[in-house]
Amino acid sequence: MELLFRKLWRDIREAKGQFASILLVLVIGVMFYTGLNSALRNLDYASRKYFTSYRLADLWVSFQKAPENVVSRIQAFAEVKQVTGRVVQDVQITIDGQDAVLRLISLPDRRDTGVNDVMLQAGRYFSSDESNQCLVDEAFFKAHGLKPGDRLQPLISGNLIKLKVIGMVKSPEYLYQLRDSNDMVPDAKRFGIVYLKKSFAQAIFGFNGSINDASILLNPGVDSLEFQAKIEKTLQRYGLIETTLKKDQLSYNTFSGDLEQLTSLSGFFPILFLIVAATIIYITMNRLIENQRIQIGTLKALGYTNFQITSHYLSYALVIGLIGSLIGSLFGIYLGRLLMVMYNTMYQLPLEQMKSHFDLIIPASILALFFCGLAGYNSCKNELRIVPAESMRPKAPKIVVKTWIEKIDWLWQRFNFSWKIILRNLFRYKKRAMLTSIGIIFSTALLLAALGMNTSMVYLITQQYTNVQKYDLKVGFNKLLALTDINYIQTLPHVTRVEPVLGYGVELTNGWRSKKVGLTGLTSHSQLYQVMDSQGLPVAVPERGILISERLSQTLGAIPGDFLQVRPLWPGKNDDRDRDRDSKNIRVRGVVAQYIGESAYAKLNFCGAILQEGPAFNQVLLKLDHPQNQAKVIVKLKAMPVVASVQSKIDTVANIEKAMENAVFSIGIMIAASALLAFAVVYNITTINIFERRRELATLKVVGFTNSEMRQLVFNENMIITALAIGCGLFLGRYLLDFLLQDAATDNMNFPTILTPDSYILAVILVFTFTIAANLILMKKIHRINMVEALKSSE
Amino acid sequence: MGNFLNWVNDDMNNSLIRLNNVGKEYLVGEVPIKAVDGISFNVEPGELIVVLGPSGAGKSTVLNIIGGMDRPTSGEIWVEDQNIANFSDRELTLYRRKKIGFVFQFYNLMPNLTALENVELAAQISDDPLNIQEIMEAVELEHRLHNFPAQLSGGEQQRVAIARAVAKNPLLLLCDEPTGALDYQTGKSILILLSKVNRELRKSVMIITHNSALAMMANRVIRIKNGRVERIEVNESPESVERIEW
Repeated sequence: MELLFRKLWRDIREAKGQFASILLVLVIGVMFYTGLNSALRNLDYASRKYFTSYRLADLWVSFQKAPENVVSRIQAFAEVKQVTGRVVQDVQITIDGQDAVLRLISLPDRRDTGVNDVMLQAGRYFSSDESNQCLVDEAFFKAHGLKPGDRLQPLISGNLIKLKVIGMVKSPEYLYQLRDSNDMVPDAKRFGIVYLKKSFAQAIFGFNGSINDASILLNPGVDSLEFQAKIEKTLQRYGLIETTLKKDQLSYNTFSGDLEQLTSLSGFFPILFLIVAATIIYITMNRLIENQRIQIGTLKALGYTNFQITSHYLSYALVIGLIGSLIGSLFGIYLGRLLMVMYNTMYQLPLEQMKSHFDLIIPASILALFFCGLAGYNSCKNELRIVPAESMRPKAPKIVVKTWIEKIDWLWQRFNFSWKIILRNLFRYKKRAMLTSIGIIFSTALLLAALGMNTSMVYLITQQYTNVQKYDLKVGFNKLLALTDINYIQTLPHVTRVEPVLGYGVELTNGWRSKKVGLTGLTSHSQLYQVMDSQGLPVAVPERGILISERLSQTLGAIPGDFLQVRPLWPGKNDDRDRDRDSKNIRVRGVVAQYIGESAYAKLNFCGAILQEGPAFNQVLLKLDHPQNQAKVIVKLKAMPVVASVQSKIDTVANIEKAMENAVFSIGIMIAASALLAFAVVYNITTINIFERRRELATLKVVGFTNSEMRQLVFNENMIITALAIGCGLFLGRYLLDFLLQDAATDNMNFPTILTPDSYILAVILVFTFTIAANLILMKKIHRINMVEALKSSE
Repeated sequence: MGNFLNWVNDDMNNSLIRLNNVGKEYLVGEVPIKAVDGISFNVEPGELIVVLGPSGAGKSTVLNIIGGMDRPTSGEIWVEDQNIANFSDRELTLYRRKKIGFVFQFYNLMPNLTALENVELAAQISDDPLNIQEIMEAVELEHRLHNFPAQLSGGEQQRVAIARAVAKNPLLLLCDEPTGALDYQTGKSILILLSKVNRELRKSVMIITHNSALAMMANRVIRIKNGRVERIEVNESPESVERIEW
């Protein structure tokens, strides 16, 4: 078989352009699939390792104030592996002239391996000296440029307490540093975690011998939901406030959501990509081998068996498949590492070692090899089925019928000869035109979908922060205020409008389904917060009842007209042990579109009524004459003792954009890959077209067509096919986008399908540019067609 | 009448090949077309046979069938006491491999293999191949062994094709219009080569041509018209090719 291998090798060398372009498509497909998936896997693996190493809790129990022996009570349960009692409290602090909130959490006085442990990044752990030593979380530490030895002075129970910073830590409990579910984006400057010695924490909060938090690690295999119910019953008499499962814990939940979103954002796309690449490879190999018809027939005539011939052509396919998979995998691993590091700038997970995921490389390679092999096999099958005599006969030209366009005499006369050839080719060899188009249709669709993801995301942010949240500043108060308290704020310079808002967390329940979300109570005719429906049209907030977001409606299975149980999570309002007594039955009055976060909306008064308060509020929305003046206004606001926080929209948008960096980056990669694929496909197709038609083109050259006339012939035909294919591709792309976005939605973010004319135009321009570029590059090939050689063969 | 006489005269058991009422029918749309309509003749060992007839008479079809490259729709073809008309695909493949050497009008060489390699391609699947170097010398291509078909003239390519066919050491050499694409001189040299193969290597050779002057070089001439054998002539003393002019 050695001779056949020589033939194989030389065939490849001769048509290296074609094989190279197939290889390119293959490499891109495998690389992208492997790369994106392995980055995500690594992220997942690194986070899991982090959580396990530092014993992230499975269940948190919060009490008003429980005696320490409750810990041993909990430990007694068979399901419990380990439990650590802590004191957790949020306090205010003014640092660097800014207001911030610190969450003080106790850690064992002596280094231990408790639940919800911390990772020491700099400095040292507590020593037995000063009692007021503290460890500060990395983000806050860096945001305020702290150093070991610095002092922090939070306000604790009315007194300024000095704390001495001795080290910087990181904790899996606060991978995402959010204070509560109202915070959507971590703000390292305004929220920090500070760890104190347990003895000290107990002392300053008057918790001697008591704790208010139990972090529980369960044994493997335990059903956490069941256990949660069980332990709640038991701990009721200790002043239980609430229990939180790991999956609902804010940081873990948000991170999982991120991971989920990144996974689905990039999840289906690579597979699709690989499949498109595989299809194109199939079509191409098929054509290449069919072009060897006569040689196949000759081998058969010589007496080579079908098996020998099939193996020969199969090896073409497999050689390419193997090389492509190998290169693609190598690049993919590299890409994966790169992406992983990019993604991790957000989370700062410790990355000790990154695994090479062979369980990703192998499926991708196998899929690619399979398609190549299938192509090789199928292509021969047809030729080998018929007797050699027939396969060596040139394929009978199709029965020549006048195509419909030729029948329109007056139109047909107007075309010059070149166009006649082009049009006839298109209409007669529809199959060839269609196969050519498939590649372009798919890559256009992918490209459009990728671009669309970008526009959808941009729309999301614009919509949310320009059309929905029309305020410049959002001020949060540390207690409920009455409407009369607003007056001072209204008189502040640069403030043009003030609207009160009552916002708090609630748990909405519909039967067995429930979700904790934020409830926002707006004034009538709010101008600064516009709730919209999915068409982008404003929705009026009803007098009674609530509006819920689309996603919430799905999660709870509730539609307008249904009743939901609403239980406020207002500190102090739900220490009533009987949960159900606090719940009210509220009617859903409408469903609104919400892309970021998950909320319910109602009238201010209505929200107040749920809390059994009068018309009160705890936030205001401000509109300024010019956003630049916000600094001055903020200073005045902060001076007010009732003000707990001031959020500026500009800063929030900046934070969100930063938070979405990973998503945006992934999309960027998708766009780049689609573009690359589109180019490879176009190049591929053009190369093969020219090769298949070389006899025809050589004849034209002999007849006297100039190089530029031949160029035009090939070029124009390609352009028409491309144009039609792009049209189909755009159409397909829209549906693809729909599908991908639906897949990418999480609780915190979901995307409307938005395709602006710009996306379409860009996709069209890109694909056309690639086609033109490929044609230009390959023009030389047309010029170089050796008339004599091409015409020598008997096809 | 001539058919019948010849059939009776020949000793059936010694014939290399016996065609018995072979037919080949195609369906073009709904209409059946008979390319070969009941052809019978014999080929004796060591004979050089010329098959004559106008274009479209069915000559190539008959050759293809004898060469195992196509199947008849009716009739029998006995080759060394086996009826190849009933052969399975695999059996036909082996038949082609071992018994037949085929020379095409348009050479059908592998474009990416050298002259030598093209011949080796055939030799290596044969059980008992002839010595390649000797064959290449016999076809006078010993200096062009490492050229690719594109670098060879038509005549040279045809010689490679003949070498390839002969290298397998087949029972029968079948040539479909071997000089069709060549000029007078070159064509003549090819025919000289073929008769050399016939006489010196003692191979039965069957040549299709539409040039009736070549009838003189054959031991047996089979004239085919409209898919049927018109007549069969036996030449007691065939002419040598050099002396034939046309």
